[in-house]
Amino acid sequence: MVSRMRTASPNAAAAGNKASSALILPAAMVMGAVVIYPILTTMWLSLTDAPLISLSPPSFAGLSNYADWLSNPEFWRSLWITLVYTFGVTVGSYAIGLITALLLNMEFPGRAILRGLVLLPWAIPEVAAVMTWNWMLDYQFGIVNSLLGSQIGWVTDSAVAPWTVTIVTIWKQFPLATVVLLAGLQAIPRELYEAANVDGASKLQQFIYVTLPGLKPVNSVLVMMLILYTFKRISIIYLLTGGGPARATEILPVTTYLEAFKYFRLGSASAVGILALLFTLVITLVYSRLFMREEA
Amino acid sequence: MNGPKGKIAVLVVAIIVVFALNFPVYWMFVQSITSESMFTERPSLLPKAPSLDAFRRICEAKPIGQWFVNTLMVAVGTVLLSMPLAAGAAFSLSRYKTTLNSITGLAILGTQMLSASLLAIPIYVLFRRTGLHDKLGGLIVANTAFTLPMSIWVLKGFFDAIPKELDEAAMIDGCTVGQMIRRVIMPLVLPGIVAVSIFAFILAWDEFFFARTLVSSQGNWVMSVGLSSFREEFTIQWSDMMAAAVLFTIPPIVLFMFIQKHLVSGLTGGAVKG
Repeated sequence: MVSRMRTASPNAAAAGNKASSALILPAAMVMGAVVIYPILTTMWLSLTDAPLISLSPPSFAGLSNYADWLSNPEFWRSLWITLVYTFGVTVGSYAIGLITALLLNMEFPGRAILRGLVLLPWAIPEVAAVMTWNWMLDYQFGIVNSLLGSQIGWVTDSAVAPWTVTIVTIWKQFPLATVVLLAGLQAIPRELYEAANVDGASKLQQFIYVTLPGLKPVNSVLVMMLILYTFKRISIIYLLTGGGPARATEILPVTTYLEAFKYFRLGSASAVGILALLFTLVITLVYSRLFMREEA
Repeated sequence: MNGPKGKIAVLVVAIIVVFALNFPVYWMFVQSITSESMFTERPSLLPKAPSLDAFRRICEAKPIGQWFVNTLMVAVGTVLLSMPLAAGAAFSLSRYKTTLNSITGLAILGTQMLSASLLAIPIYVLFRRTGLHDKLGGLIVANTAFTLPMSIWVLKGFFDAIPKELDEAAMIDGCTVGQMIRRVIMPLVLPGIVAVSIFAFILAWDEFFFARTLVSSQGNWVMSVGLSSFREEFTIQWSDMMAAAVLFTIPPIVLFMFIQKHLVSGLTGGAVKG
């Protein structure tokens, strides 16, 4: 408001408003065309029985797609798998992110290089990473079974596969946590540690009473990002297990994909996609209510 | 802990941890230069009898060149389409508070909740109707949808860092809004635009899901789809697959090194001062 008052003249302010609209309109229109319009289309499709390739216009089916999903135990199973996967990946990424960030925040020669290298899992393309894991986890010739001397069907055993996809996703995603936590650690004033030192606090006490509270401002944003990124993540599971074996790793985005592009039921796929979106919304709202209000 | 010995100890631990975490990356490179016959024996952690055969084989047997060109066109196209839009929107969001801006800002945050599989359905329907299906142009549009929110958000941070007083001084000196942006703001924000362009390029280069669902003919495949197709063959040639993965990985890794320092502030939308 203050800066607005200091603008050169009322004419300039008007020109500014016009410019503001002219500048944002193209992007707003593109976003509308490729994001808002699709969401509305999906909502409409979810109320129809549209197949993937339709010659005739789809017929209105009301809320029956939603009713079908909500009464389908497979849906609830998928939702549960999604929640467990999201929780596991978020906790795991945060834990490894914190360990690496603490380590790389210490002073030692060559720190800058290692700070760059730790980001590699994140920087390499998802498909290249997953293909490498596919090879590493190969039942017969993979390096993992060979090193462990084990015969574990990492992606073919329905009891093991959920762990596998969780670990691979953590591996791909933890550097995001490292980067953000490292920035958070650097933002903690050195004086706090010096004061704690003077007061005779041990390293552990410093960690609990200085470091952890100091990370609070970045934690809320970071955890939110980790949850959102994991909840909608599809390529890793799609390429590792395809949702199998026996649907053991079928998170909701995979269900949506299979329903649309494998079983060719667009209406039904749209409905399950919208349901997943609603769950994301609920989680986001609850989370921001609980953890993000004080900083906002 | 703070003596030279302590520092070396930390260095050793850090090296072990970082290298252990990067084992899959190492393995990808090593296996791409390991000959296929080695795979039936117990695998060795170091490359034995390294050769570039796998690279030669995939260049002969697969349309790698075509995939590469397609990927490049899609990534460059995404940058060219999204950056002007992102720059305009980011400047507007950074400087003005209008209703349209608030709505767009909310929409940008909202897009972060959409999964690619949800977006792919209506985009597929839309592209079928408009003839963008199975076209690289369509892929550029879809990728723009997916990189634009992120680009706007990160660029806004760069614009926010330029003091508003500078705009006002320019306006008082008689610049129009257009001149002010061109002569005063753009030169200052150019490093940001370069960084965000690289970021969008990498996202579009790596993108798999839209490329898999919105393009069907093999001539229009991008690297990510081509690479994933190795897995669908009857006998998987692992070293060939790793060689293709290496070729696919090198460009984004090189670019990544240039923008690394901008990532923190960008990713957290300024919640952390990186």
